[in-house]
Amino acid sequence: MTATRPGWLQENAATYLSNAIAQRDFRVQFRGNRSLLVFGVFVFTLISIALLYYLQTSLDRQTSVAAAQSNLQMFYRTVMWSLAGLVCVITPALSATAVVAERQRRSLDLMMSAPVHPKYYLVGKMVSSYRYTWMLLALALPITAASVVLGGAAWNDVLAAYFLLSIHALVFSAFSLFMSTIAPKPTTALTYSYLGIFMYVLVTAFASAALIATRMMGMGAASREQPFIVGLNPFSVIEASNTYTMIAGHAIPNYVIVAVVGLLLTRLFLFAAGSVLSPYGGSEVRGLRMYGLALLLAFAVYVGSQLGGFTTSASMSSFTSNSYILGMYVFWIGMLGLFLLPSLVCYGYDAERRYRPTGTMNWLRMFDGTPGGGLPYLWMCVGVLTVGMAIGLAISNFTVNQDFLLPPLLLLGVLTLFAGIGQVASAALAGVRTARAVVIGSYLILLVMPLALISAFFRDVYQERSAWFLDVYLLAPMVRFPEERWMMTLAYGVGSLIVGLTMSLVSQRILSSRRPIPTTSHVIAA
Amino acid sequence: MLEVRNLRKEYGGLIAVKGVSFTLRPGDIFGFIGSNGAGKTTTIRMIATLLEPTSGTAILDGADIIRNPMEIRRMIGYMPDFFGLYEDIKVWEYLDLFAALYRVPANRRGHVVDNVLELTDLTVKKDAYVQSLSRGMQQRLCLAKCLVHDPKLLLLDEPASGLDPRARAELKELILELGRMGKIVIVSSHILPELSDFCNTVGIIERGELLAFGPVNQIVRDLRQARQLVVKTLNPDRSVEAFLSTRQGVQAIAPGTDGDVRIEFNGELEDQAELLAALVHEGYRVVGFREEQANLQDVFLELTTGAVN
Repeated sequence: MTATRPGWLQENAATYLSNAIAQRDFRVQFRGNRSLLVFGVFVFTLISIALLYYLQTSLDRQTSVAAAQSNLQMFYRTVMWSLAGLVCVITPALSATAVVAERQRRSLDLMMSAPVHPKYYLVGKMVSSYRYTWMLLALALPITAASVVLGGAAWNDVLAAYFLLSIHALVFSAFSLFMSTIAPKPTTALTYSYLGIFMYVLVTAFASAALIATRMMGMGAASREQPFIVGLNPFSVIEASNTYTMIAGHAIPNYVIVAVVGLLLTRLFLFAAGSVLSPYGGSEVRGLRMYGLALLLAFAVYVGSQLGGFTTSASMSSFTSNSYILGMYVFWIGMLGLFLLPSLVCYGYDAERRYRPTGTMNWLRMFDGTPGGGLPYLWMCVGVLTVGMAIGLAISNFTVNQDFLLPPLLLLGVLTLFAGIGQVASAALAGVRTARAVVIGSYLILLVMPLALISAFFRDVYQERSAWFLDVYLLAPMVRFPEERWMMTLAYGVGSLIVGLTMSLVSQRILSSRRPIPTTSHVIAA
Repeated sequence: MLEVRNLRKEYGGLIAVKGVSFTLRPGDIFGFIGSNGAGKTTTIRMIATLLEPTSGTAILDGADIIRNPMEIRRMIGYMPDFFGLYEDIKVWEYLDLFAALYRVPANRRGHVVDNVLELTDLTVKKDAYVQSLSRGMQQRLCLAKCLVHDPKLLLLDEPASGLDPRARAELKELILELGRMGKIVIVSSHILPELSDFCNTVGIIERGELLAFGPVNQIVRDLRQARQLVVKTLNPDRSVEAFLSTRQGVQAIAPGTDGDVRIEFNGELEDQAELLAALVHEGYRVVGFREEQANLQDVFLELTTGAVN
C-alpha cells in the first residue's frame, strides 16, 4: 500500500480543508493550560478597558447624550486599535518561527521527504497561526458588541472592520512565514517580520493620510469616498469599513478591495516562501515569477489610472512634458527592482545549482530562477510596468507621447548596468555572496553616496556646468539642467545599457577563461 | 529496483559525491560505509530528493529523482542521522500526522498506525508523549514513521548511532525483517561489524568515491587475491620462516605477534593442505594452521586512507 497520487481536487481539499500540519498544530496549541491562560488574560484586559470607559461615563452624572455617544465611539475605536495592535504583534509571533524552528530542530527534512508540496506545508502553518489570531478576534467580539448595543457603532461597520482585521492577520501571517523561510534563526525571523510589518504600517499610514487629505480638499470631510489604501493600514479599519472607492463609475466598498489586495499579497508571500522551500525550485519559482508579473501589471494599471486622474493636460514644467513626468513614476517604481537584482543575476559555485551560471541573457530561462534569466526577467518587469502604466493612463483618458518612454529607457539602462556589474563580479570572484555584496556596494558608490555627498558639500552645484564630475552620476538626468533633461535621459539610458551589456559579455569571457572547479583530488593534493 | 547512476554533488570548489553508481534489488539490505564526511549522507539525501544532484540521477521503479521527486517520495521512507521530533505530541498522533502526509486514507490510518507500532514494538507507548521516549524508542518511532506508507525503499542514515547494545540488536532484527518483506534498505553506518551481520551488499565510500560495491564476501575476495595463513609451531625459530619461503605459492612472510608466522599464500585448498603436510614432514611440531578470514573492517581499512572531503 504505497502512498497514492492524489488528484487536483483531492490535493486542494487536503491542503485547505484537512491539512494534517494544521491539525497537528491545533492539537499542540490547545493542549494544556497555555491557550486558556492567554485567552483569559486577553479577555480580562479587554473587559478592564470596557470597565474603565464605563466608570468614566457613569461617574460623570451630568454627561450629555452626545458626549456619552462620543465616549462609546472612542471606546469602539480603542478596542479596534487594540485589536489592530494585537494582529500586528501576535501574528508574527505565531508564524515567524514556524519554519525556521523546524529547520533548527531538524524536523523539516522529515516533512520535506514526504510527498507534500511546499504549498501544503505553508498553508498548514498559516492556517494554524491564522486560526489562533481569529480566535482572539472572536473573543473580543462580545466586548465590541457592547458599543453596538449602546449606539457607538453599527453592526455592519463592526463586521466589516473585523473582516479587514482578519485579512491583515492573513497577510501578516503569510509575510512572517516567508521571513521564516529565509531567516537563519528564529529571532532573526521575528525581527525581520516585526520590522517589515512596522514599515508596512508606517508607509500605509503616511500614504493614506496624504491621500485622505488630498480627497478632503476636493470632496469635503463628510464624503464616504476614500482611497482603498486607507484600508491597507490595520489601524484605520474603522475608516475603511464604511467607505468606498469609485472604480469605473462603480462604488466598490473598500473592504472588498482590501480583501482582494490582501489575498493577492498573501498568495505572493506564499509563492515566495514556497520557492525558497522547494528543493529543486522548479514550479514554485516559475509560479512566483509569473505571479509577480501579473501583480506588477495590476499595480501599474491602478497607479496609472490614479495618476491620470490627477494630471492635467497642461504641462507642470516649462522644460518637461507631463508624459515625461509620468514616465518618471515608472522609473522610481522600477528602481525598487534594485533590491531584487543581486539575487536574480548573481551566481557562484558555492551555492545550489540554481545559482550556477546559465548565460548572461537567456530569455528561455526567464522563469526558471537561474541567473541567466535574471536580466531578461528584469527587462520584462520594466516592460510590464511601462505598458501597465500606459494602460492605466489611457483608462483615465490621458494619452501619453514618446517622452513617457524615456525614463523607462533610463531604468532599463540602470538595471542592465548593475546586472553587468553583478555578472562580472560573479565571474571574477569566488562566490555568489561576494558578488551580491559587490553589487550592493556599487549601488552605494554610484547611486546613494554621490547624492548625499553633493547635497552635503555643494549647494546648487547641480546646475553648474563646471561641475563636470557630476556627469558620471547615474541619476544626473534627474537633477541636472532641466532644459536638457530629454537628451540627457536618452543619452544616459542608452549609455548605461551599452556599458551594462558590454560588462555582461566581459563576464562571459572571464567565465570561459576561468580554470575548472577544483576536484577532491586537487584539494587533497593542495 | 533502485538504480543510482553517476550521482554527483559539488559544493563550491569541492566534490562531495563523485559519480556514485550502484543497483539494488528488492530485499537487498545495503550497508553504506564510510568515514564522517565521506559522502554517505549527501548521497542518501540526494536519493531522498532533499538535495539536488549536480549531475547524475537515481531511478526507483521507473521514477527519476530529478523528474519525478514527488513520485519518489511516495516510495521512500527516510530516516535522517539526526532528527527532531515534535514535542507535546503523542506517539500515535505523530504517526497519524505522517500517515496523513503520505495520504493514507483517514479510515485506514488507525489500523496502519497500530501495525507499524506493533512492528517496531512500540504498542505500549502508543499514548505516551514523544518527548518521554528514550533515544532508542525515538529511533524506532522515526523508523515507524518511515513505514506508515509501506515504502519500497528505506533510507536509514546512521540509524544505530547513540543506541545501547540491546536497542542495536532490536534495530538489526527489525531491518532484517524489513529486508524479508522485500524492501530495499540502505543503511549508512561506520560501525562495521554490525553492518556485516545483516547487510547482504555493502558499498565503501571515501571522499565521495565509491571504492567498492557488492556482497561482503565478494569484496573481501576481490581485495585479497592471496590467502592469509597463520602458522604456529612449538618452539618457533627463524628456520620455519626460511623453510616456508622456499615453498611454492608463498608470496610473503611476516612474523606474527604470538610467535606465529603470517603467510600470504597464493594457492588452492589442495596446495594449502600440501604446505601443512610439508611442514609436518619436515619435523616442525605444528600446533596451529589456519586461514585468516578478512572481515569488513579489514577491507575498509585497507581500501580507505581516512581522508575526508
